[in-house]
Amino acid sequence: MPDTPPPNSSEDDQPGNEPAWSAAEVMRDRATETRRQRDAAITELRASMDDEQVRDEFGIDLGEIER
Amino acid sequence: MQAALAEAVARTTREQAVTDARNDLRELRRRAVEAGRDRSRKIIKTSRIDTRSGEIRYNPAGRLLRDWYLHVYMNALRATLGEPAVAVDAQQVEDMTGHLRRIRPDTKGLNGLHAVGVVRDVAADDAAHASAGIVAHLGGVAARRAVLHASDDRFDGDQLAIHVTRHWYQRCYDDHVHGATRSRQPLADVTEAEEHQVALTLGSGQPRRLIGKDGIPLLTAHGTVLTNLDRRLAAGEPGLISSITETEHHTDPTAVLRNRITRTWSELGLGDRGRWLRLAGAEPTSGDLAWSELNAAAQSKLIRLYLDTHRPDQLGVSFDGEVINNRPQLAAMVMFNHRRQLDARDIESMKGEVEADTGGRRIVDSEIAIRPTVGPRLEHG
Repeated sequence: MPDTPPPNSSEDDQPGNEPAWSAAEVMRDRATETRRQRDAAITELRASMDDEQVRDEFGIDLGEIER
Repeated sequence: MQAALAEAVARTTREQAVTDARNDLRELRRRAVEAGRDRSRKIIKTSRIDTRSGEIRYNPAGRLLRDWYLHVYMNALRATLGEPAVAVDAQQVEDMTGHLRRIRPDTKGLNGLHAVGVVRDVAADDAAHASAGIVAHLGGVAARRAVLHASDDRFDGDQLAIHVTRHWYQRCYDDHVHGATRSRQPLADVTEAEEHQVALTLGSGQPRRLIGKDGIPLLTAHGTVLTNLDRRLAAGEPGLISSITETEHHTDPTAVLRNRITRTWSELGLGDRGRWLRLAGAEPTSGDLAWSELNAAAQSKLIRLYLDTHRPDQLGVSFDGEVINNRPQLAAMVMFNHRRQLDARDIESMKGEVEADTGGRRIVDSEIAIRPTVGPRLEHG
């Protein structure tokens, strides 16, 4: 037997329901995670080279990336 | 509104919304690619000052890493916006590190690998932020396009038809954007059944709630009521389905079916077995036999009836939502569980909120050109 359907009530006629799901929030969460990975990678590189060496050797401007 | 016209309005509105969403995504991706090129020039330099001579020298490592940034950035952007893309894997990182070592053989230890990794992660992060900005931005674009799609004078000014069409447009536009960016809520896809319900509302003038308060449609793609079990599964609630036993997991589907049917047969009493046999069109007097003792024809009939009566789609209840009794603007909003009405006078205020929402360093910083819908305009007939 199927589960019972969601009940209908006069409450269903009312506006102002905020869905629990937000696509924009999903995207922001992903961006937060990639930022965490990026910052970890930069920390790892800085453990062996300073910013000037990184810029001189590879052309990467870490300061500009983090700005 | 006539039924055929209502069906046409529902269908063309959906098609127009999807076309607009696809075009807007493509346009914003193009702009984001341009922004990515600009950023690659800012963060990775292809020249350097020789500290001994003071001369500016070309840095081929910078050129290589800038190309690497763009490769990762563009593919990450395409992937997150639903376009075919190359997956940047560990092998590509290895290959790029090899190229870098050939250009700069004096690079110590793992520094080259780390540099390649940093550029990859920066590019992926920039693409993720650009995509997040695009999705947030298009949320407002959808609302404004929806209002323009069904202007105040459309359908001879029929307010319900105007507002239902607007919210239906917004629903379809958002659905395409969220589907392309893989940010859509599970089970929340727009379906033909939902389109049919919109047409019924336009035809009858009776709005019904189609999307639940949890954001999931109240009806399935087959036009039946979506059960609470499905809704809870879609929300990721654990422990709703009993786990498959190890035995079932390692046997083929036919064996699972056979086990279930023979177990059911053995657990039934004579009366229930007789009823099963009668309904299946088999000889009802064989109810006292073990399953293996039934002849092949009787087994086939019993199995066919078992399958027919255990298919969930045949047990579904046809969707027939309750009519929403409210003024058209609110009724249409409630139908799709949207958070705000779609009135022409609100367009400008929506724009401001969307721009505030994208916030921070925005790669996509220009307004997408909003224009009235171009295409067949079906008037109330």
